[in-house]
Amino acid sequence: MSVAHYHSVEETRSRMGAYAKSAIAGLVGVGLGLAATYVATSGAFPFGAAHSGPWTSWPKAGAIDSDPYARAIIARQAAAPLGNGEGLAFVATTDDAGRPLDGACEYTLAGTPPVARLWTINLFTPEGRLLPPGPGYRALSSDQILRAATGEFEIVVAPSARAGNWLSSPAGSPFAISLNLYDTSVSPTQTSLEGLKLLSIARGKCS
Amino acid sequence: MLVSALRDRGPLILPWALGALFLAGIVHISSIFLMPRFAENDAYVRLGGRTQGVTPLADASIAQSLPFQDQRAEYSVCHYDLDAGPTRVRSNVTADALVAISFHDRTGRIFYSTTDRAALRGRIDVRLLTPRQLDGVEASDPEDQAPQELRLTPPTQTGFVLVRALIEQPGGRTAARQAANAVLCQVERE
Repeated sequence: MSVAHYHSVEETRSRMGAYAKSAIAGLVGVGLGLAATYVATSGAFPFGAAHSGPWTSWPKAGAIDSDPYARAIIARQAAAPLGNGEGLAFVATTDDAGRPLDGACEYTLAGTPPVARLWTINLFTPEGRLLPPGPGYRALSSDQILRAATGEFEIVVAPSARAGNWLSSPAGSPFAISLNLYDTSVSPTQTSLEGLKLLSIARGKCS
Repeated sequence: MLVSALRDRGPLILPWALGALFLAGIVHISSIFLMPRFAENDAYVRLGGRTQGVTPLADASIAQSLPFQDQRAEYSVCHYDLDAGPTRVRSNVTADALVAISFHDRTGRIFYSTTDRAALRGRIDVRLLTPRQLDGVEASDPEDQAPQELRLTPPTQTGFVLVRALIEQPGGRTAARQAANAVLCQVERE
């Protein structure tokens, strides 16, 4: 009698242990899975990035066959990326040397963008939100650009006013630059933008 | 100490850890797939939800509510609901302003996009229909004539159309605003 009782306590205990372990494993599993989803949808699109220098584009994000991660991010971040039929959008958060864009520094954008009916350059926070109003414009389009007689141009991104093409960067805070090409000859279905020359982003002096 | 504890208990914990990881994978993948359905503050909602017709949006308001939106554009948006009937989206204006339009389903996914230049005969004229409505329209089509408009069946019954009119010289912001407003969105009787 006493022996049988002893066994049943042992059994109960081991069964309770198994329940506890499954409960813990279940909680850990659900927690990990949700955490992974949270992290994966917090930043930029994880797949389908095309790089050109410091610029990155996600051509598939604006297409019907976007991947499940892109769809989750579009829904969660309320993104409305440029559609493939509209043009191609690029974002840069670093300069040519890979250093994060910093409002304390000045940058020079130069080069020849690909053929497009119109292109625009916008400054945002690194998350894509509008910057608070500053001393100058935060956006420029190609038809506003002042060019040299040779057709070349430079855009200075700096916190204080400059002569020529100037975009006002947020003094002391990090930022991102977008380059939108509208009605462009660059095919959005191109998987590699290797060899495509966009604007270079050269860092000047920092205060 | 941790190493010896792991060596002793590792074989006991390992199956549970593997189980937890397996579950984590399933939870992760299913939550990614379910996110578009359950995201409450997506672009459709932030752009004004169920309003009908074209809602002009000052570009500041759209850039504040959606990330990475061009500040050199004027916007207008139209929410469609095919329950109310097929929706016709068209712009009669052939202005010089660059007008780009993207068609989104309820979750924000783009199923079609174009600019005024790339559009059929230089004019934006799109009809959004359910497959059933499309059958009805096609049945009443004259046989010897190609349809004048582009017909699309969106993946979801509701969604929105986002119009971007780029600010260009001459004309500038005013011309862009007019071009954005000139895109009409109408529910057609079946």
